[in-house]
Amino acid sequence: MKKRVPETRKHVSNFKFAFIIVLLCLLAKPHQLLSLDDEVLLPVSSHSSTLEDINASDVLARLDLVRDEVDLIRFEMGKPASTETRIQLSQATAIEAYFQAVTLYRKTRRLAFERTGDLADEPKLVKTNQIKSFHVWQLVNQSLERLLFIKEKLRIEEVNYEKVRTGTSSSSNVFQVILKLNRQLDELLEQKFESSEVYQEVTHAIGYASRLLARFPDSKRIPDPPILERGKKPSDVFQKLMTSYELIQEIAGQSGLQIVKFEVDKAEASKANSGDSYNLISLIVSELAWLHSKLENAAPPPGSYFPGYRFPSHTFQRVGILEAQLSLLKGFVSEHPDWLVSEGNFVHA
Amino acid sequence: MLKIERGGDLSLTIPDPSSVRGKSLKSKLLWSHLGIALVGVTMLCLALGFAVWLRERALNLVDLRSPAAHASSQALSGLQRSLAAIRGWITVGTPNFKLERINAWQNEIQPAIKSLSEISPKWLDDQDQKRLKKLSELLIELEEWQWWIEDIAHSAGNQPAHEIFSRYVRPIANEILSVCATLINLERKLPRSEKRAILLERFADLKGIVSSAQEKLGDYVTSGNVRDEAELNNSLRLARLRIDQLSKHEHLFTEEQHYFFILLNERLTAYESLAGQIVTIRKSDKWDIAQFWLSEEALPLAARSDNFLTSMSYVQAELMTIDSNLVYEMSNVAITVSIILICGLCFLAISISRRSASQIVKPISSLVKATQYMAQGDLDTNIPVKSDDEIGQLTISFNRMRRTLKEQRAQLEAQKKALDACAVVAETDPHGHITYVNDQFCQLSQFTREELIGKTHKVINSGRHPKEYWIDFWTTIQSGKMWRGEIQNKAKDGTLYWVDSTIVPFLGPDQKPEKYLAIRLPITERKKAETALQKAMAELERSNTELEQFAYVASHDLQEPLRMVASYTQLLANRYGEVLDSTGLEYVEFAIDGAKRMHRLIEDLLSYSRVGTRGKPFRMVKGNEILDNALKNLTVAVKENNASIVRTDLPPIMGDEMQLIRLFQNLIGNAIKFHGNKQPEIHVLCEAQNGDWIISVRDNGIGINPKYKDRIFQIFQRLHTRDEYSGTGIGLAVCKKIVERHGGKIWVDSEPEKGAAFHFTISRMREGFKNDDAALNHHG
Repeated sequence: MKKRVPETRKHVSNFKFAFIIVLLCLLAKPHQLLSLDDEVLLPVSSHSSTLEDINASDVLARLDLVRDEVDLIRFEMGKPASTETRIQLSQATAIEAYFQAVTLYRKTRRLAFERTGDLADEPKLVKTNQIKSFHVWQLVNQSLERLLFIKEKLRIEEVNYEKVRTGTSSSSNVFQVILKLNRQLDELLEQKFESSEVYQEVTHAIGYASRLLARFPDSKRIPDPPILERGKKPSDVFQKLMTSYELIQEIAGQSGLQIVKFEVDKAEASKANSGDSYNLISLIVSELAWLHSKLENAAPPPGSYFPGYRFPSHTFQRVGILEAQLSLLKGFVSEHPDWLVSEGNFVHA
Repeated sequence: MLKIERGGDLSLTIPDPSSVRGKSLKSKLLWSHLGIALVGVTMLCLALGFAVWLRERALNLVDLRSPAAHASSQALSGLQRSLAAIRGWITVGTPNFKLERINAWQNEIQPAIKSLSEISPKWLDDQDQKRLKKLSELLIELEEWQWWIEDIAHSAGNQPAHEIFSRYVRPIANEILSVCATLINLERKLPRSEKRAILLERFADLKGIVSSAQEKLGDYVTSGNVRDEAELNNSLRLARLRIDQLSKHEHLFTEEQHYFFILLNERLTAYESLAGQIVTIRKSDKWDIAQFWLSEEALPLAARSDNFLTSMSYVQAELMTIDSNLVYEMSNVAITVSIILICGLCFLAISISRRSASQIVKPISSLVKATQYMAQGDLDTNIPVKSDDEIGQLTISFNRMRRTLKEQRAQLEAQKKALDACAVVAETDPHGHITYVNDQFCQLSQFTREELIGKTHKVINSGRHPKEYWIDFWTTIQSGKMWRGEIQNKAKDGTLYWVDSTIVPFLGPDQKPEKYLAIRLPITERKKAETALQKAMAELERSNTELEQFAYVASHDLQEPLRMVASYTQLLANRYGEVLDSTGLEYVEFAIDGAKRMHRLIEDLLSYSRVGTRGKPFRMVKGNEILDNALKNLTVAVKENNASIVRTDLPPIMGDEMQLIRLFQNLIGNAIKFHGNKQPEIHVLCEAQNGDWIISVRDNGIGINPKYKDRIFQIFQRLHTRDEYSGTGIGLAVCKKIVERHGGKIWVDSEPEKGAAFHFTISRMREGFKNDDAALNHHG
């Protein structure tokens, strides 16, 4: 083990400095307070004057800070920078960005645990139909807090400051940056987000899909799983998830809605790892959650749970269930395009 | 009325059944049968309606209640089975339980719900359908939750406390132990001292405490036992106590020890934090998510589904019991009603049949009895008519027939009596044996009845008739024809007597004579009279012939002296006329005229006598030719008087042509002569009447006083003076004699100044002609 001289006092003072800034800001605008796990962080990018007005630019400014902190940690850990992805993305909303931010938080949380032994709580998810840029900003802040904690433990003394971003930004930009950060964090984690985590999120998506299918009472909400195919690789899972995402796009299109246009180069897809799959399944979950939020009185999904260790083949099989659900849903929606707005359940002929 | 003709000459009229007043027998029979049938059909309809109702209830029971109750029970059973399977899976984790759960859904619950859904449209209560819909939703929800429970039950995330312990606490604990080990190693490398010894002991102690805490935490995660929790807390408290104690000796640490001690302190803090989380989670309801979902989600859903199913099952079972009881009770009622209906139907059928049969048969029985009486000869019993149907009609007809028979029998008896009184009657069998004779027979033949019965008629055969006579007799009657003839028989005493016999054969079904009836009229006296008459006639004929011969001879012989008188008188006038004065001449004229008239009278008398003596045999002559010849002879008179003759065709006539010409000539000549001041218009007409032709000659002349209608036909009778009308008065007498010679008669219809119509008859001779028309055509 490399011997490091602790500089606890300096780190503590840096940390206290940040808190003092926040405290001052709070005193200046007490009416703009928002709770964030007993901590309050205000935007410093000056784009928004109140927390409610926080927009994509504010989030991006904070993400820039996060990226800088991640770079410092990566440098300290001696890890390589992640490669650029050839993922084309557009028309993202705060919801997709939020769920991607959840992934960001989970990865920083795990990184913090690996580096410090401190395990923060799981994020408390906001109701999908209430998600705004502010909530994305909150999660980014929570991720930043984890990174600062790591920095403190790693005794990294360099301090980054949030910079004011010029020009307009969109949730797609936010999504893109978070995606990139997530890929970078994958490089830093000792225990990466493997097939098991993808499996867990796929199960989460299945929960949402079953709730959507509940709109059509005659449907089999959770179809029988396909036969387990041995030897599947993470890239196979990724590509199958892409198929599911395309189905969601078609469902949204049939319903008169637009979702994120997510295009991945085929070569890129063939090289995708579980981390990429995790990012993608997060996007899928976000889209399904968004559709779910459109339904009134729809029961919430059972929630996700860690399945234990799972091979990509298991995950591939489970994605098969999701794909079957989405195919069923697509069939129903094609017959009832107004399924999100009509009252009552549909009985499939 | 219907009319049945037999053989064209016998007709029988019978009443038309449609003319029956009131209800006909057919109608009665029809109504009788229809009545029974109607009662039967009504009862059958009632029974059928009842059967249909029972069938509906039974089908309802079979198709609706029973399957519904069965499906509800099946779903309930499947539900319990699935819950047992999921519990088994959670507890044991054997894949068989997963299979068991799937089977419960696929083989019991889902088919049962499908069955209920198929039946549900027949349910009358909307609440049942709503209940089923809600049940279906609950079961789908429950199935999904069971899937989730099954999926999570044996996953790492099922017990978050265990997950944290495994994924996060264990690495930290290992790191703490590792750091402790590092600190101990570092401490051991330092020089020994009492304080150092204490530090070493404290580090080792800390390591042991952490190790113990880890063990206790692991136990607690598994068991959730309070004692384990207490021991864990005790270990953690000791660990923190050791850290605090070590902190007091921090000045003794080397820099490296200090680094690791800080790290140890941080990791222990994290450990304490995670252990706290584990305890919190372990104490919460969600420490086992599968169990939590089972109790919080699945079981309530199952309980609600169970309630629905139990309710439905109970309701259906109740309804089934009610229906079943109803069907059972109604079946009993149906059997009872059916028996009553059958008995009632039998009773009604018997009653109606007896009544109808009695109504129909009673008069027939009366008729049968009456027929029997009639067969016994009683024709006096009258059958009362009690109905106006065919039986009534039959009774009326029967009574009428009886009366007719009675009348006919009386008539027959009277006729027989009359016949017996005037005729000799006998009956024989086909072989000629006498079976019956009347008193007349016995009286005439002088045999007793006993002597005759069984004998043939040979006993009275006179032997006067030739053999051929009898052959013709037997041939005729044996061929079924009636024979009539005159037979001379011999009485017992040998006297002969004549009978006019009529033998009538009575034919049997084989058209052969069964018996013969002989009706004979005694004609012995008549035969005697005929013989006498024939003798008288022959004498008369001889007398007439002689008389006519005398008249002819006299007339002929008178001609010669008369011609001599006339000739010499004429010669006297011629030669000696100059010597005779006017008176002498006048006398000569008178003599000549008298001789001439005498000559004419003799001529006429001669011709009159010739009608009888010089007549020619009759032959068929054409009437028109006769008339033509007559008119030809009258040509001068017709022209002189400018007479108009209108004539019709006359038929062929069997007669003496010359005499017939004379007949027409005389009649038409008279009509011309007695025309008076009028232009004569004469019509010759002919018409058929009975067996004669009536030929008429009608004129528009002076007419005849009816009182002279017979006188005019007498010889030499005149109604006018010779100055008024010439003639000898013998013409019509000749006409009468000619007509009578031809078997006819002549008469006149006339009144003075109104013309006269002379009619005479000539027998219509058919032989050689098919009919009168043909005869006329032939003539024409």
